[in-house]
Amino acid sequence: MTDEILIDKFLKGHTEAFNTLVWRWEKPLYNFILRYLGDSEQAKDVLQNTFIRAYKSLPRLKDHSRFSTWLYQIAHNQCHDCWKARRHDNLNMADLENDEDENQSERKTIVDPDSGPDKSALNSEIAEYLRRALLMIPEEQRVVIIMKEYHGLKFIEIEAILQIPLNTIKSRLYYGLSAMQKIFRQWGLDREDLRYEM
Amino acid sequence: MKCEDYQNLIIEELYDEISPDDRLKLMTHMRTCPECATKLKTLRTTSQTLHSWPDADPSLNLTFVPENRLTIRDRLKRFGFRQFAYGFAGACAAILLILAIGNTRITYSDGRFEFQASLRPTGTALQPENYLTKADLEQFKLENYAAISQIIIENNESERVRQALMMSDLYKDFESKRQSDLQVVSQALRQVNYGSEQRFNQTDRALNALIQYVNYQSAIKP
Repeated sequence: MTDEILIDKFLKGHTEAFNTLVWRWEKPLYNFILRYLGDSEQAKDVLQNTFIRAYKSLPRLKDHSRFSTWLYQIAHNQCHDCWKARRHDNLNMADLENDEDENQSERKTIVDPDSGPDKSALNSEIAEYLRRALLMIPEEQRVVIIMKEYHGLKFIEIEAILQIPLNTIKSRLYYGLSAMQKIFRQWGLDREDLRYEM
Repeated sequence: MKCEDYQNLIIEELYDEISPDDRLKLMTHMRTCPECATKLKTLRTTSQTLHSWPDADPSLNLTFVPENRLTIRDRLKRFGFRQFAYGFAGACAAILLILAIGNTRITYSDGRFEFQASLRPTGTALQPENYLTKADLEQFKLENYAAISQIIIENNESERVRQALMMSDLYKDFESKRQSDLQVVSQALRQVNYGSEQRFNQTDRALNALIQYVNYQSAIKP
């Protein structure tokens, strides 16, 4: 059953149809939010708020074929607000940047795949470093990287969600990926053999 | 064109969203610019590295329930402190407003209006001479006691009358019932008497006929 049929059903009073939409979209949206904010508990809260907002606003969505774009827009706005609020807490970026020195000292353990007996532990460790690396680049670059790399969205889809010109999106991707590349190189995450292990 | 002008094309090429013309343009440039070729390669490596972060499962179990299916407990949960505070403040304000409007006095004298607002009745404000004393309370208590006693006596009297009337009605009912029963019994007795008399007469007639017959037979035979 397509999203559009489910939306029609929901608008006719079948709340179960919305629950099906939640079940269908919760994983991609959660991962989008998680990578955006880098905190699983906050990601769950933001995901919940996103669906609550969608539940309330869905009757006002005119073009039902734009549902996924619209849902990503809500999630992005929620993430942006959350990120803005968190920036004022003075806990995030400074601490993360301080962690960079610590990461440098741990470099040996990351880059040497033979040293770790447990591959899944190594993978989760690498995922943790990727989480930190994403949080170190500017928010506007991070969001386009997440949309492109992890959600496979086309440039025009990202343009529709973020409401910014195509060239800006490409430019942010270019600079965002370049920044990530720089961080990976510093941390030793750019080695071919390491990616093989991953 | 400078290398900066090829940045967007590198990105398009990286994600395979480049037009054939632009691809040709980029390839031509990269043949003479090893820096841009290296950039594309390193960005591709970075992109691959990013994919090492697998998707996580939210396990949120979020379920939406229609508004009318919410239990009272759910509704109370949703009714937070802020709503309660707003509601309480609104109710207080409304009560004060009603009191103020209800006890507002507008008078006109000597060609001008006088406006007097108060939260309690302006005409019945307690004056020092109106304060209740202990003697007043005692008097009030005695009056109340007398009134209540009177009410109890009256109640008892009316209860007795009511019961007497009820007994009288009951007696009348029984009497009428008895009379109707007597009528039924006397009618039945009359019927029994009538039947007995009939049967007695019949028997009498039969016996007389038998005697006559016997007499006749004895007279005939020598």
